[in-house]
Amino acid sequence: MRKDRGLRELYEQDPIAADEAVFGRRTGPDRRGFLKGAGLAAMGLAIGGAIPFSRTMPAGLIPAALAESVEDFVIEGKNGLRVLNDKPVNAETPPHLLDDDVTPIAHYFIRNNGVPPESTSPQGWRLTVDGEVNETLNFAISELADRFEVVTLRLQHECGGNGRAGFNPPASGNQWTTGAIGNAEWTGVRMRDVLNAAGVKDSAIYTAHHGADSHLSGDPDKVPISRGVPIWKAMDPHTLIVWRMNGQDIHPMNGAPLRILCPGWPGSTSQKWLTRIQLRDVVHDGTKMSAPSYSVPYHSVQPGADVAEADFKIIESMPVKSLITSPRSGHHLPTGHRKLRVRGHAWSGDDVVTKMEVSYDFGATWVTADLHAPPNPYSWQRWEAELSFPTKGYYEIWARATNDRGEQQPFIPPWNPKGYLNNAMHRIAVMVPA
Amino acid sequence: MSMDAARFPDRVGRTGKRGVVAAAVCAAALVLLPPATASAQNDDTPAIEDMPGDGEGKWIVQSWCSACHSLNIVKQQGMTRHRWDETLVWMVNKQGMPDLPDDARATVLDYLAEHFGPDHRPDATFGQPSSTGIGLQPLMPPQ
Ligand code: HEC
Repeated sequence: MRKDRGLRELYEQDPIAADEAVFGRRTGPDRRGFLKGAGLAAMGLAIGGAIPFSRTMPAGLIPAALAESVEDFVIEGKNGLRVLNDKPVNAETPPHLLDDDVTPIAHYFIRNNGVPPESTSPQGWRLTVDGEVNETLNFAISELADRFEVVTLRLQHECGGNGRAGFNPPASGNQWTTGAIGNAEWTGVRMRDVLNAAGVKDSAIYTAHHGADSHLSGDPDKVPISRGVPIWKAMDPHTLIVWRMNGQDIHPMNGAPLRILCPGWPGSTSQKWLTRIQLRDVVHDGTKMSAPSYSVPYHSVQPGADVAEADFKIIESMPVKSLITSPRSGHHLPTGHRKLRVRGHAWSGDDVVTKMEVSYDFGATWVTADLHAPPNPYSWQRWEAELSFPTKGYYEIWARATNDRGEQQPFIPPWNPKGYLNNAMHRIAVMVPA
Repeated sequence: MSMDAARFPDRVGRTGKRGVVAAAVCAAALVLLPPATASAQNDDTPAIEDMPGDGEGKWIVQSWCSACHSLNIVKQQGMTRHRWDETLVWMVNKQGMPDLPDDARATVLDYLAEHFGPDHRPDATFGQPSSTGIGLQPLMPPQ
């Protein structure tokens, strides 16, 4: 590029030539036609400049700069979600919409890394099982259902980056607050049964999951995400390959028609739009398997520190956590009322929550809540408590869960470079007017 | 409209005024947009104004960084120049972004560090939620 002219000027004058000058590449014939058809120049006018980088922009699409607002963004079959990003779609659930024991499909969070497949019809969908197995197998979804025991389980499923917005200094990525968690009722088969049918070789130590979504750049050689788990987690009877969610078809944005549900681990291990499970004799090295993705430092680090790649470990079980789902934060009690029922859910990765406590005096004293047993392992657990406020005033309700290992939710979880595993106590505000 | 919208035409869409704008411009992309394309500019809250600042840095970020994902992922961040630098390296090495020419790269880093530095409390375009319910921020807007 010539130094005396700015990039913008170059592109304004002739986007095709500029693209060539900057990147030393020619725009492909298809693209060229599109550019010549004035599409690009016209769009460029609209955003106040031409569009470099047209190679990756499918024809007919407007640049995202023209449609930046997420406020009026609608996803059919979903409502009430807080949209963090529209491309790729990332949306979380406000706490009060997580009050149901079984999270409704309409309120279930979305975490996309790439572009979902064009068709999510179960017709013709195939799953391949290969790698360190005795025999490569290939199934239609109906064959999975015919051949293996079909199970239905309520399973907690949380994004590893849930709570990222609470870290300071800020960590990069989607700024989830508390809503990248769901507990739906999933129907499918145990991954273990499917792997056993193919015959797991002794050399198999890790799974590699592959889906049908495509990379944001449009480059067919790039993969948006491909993660896996150690073989022992894949063989756990609660790790499922599912095709139904709450007795209905899975929502397309939640991975229809087939996905993994690997409960209690970062959501990214539950590959969506599942097409292939490969067994490997090494820790899988697919996209987003290497540090810092879905990894945290071995030792706690000073906030903002640079951490060497070798000092990261892959996240496995998610930490103990809970949410207050009723009332909604900002609740005002009616005049003269001093009692309030509060409730929510608690969960803990591979473990079980054994104690749930709430405080209304900024953590000075704690009230033990009623905690229900999970309906099945790996479901979140309902808790509820009744509080009596001694005076009028502004109250905060804080909630903390403890698991069977004695681990309890902290006030402030350890900072880490990518902002994972924020299991800080959830807080809501309540006004008692008189 | 987004790439997902194009692929899921009946599942993802926009409502309201901006939806209309998007549709108009979308059509124009295939036909020819009248110059001055007032529709985008005259909208009450033109999307393009959502990015702060001005100049070459803003222009490059708007056009370059919206090619694969929307700018919402950029606007959500609050990072030092150093972390922005690392992010751009990651974008090039892992995500297939062609590297920016040296001077443009510096201009982009300056822009990002100025407008989306660590003091920028990240959020989507709604403005900061009254509380995240985690960490130490006040739960209700302080009076
Ligand atoms: C070639 C495609 C491409 C281009 C161009 C591109 N990005 Fe990205 N970017 C990606 C992909 C893919 C991701 C990962 C998305 C995901 O997993 O959610 C990403 C993620 C990000 C993230 C989140 C990082 C994180 O830690 O998760 C930021 C911030 C970002 N991009 C900024 C930028 C900026 C700034 C530019 C312009 C200088 C840019 N991107 C241009 C492909 C691109």
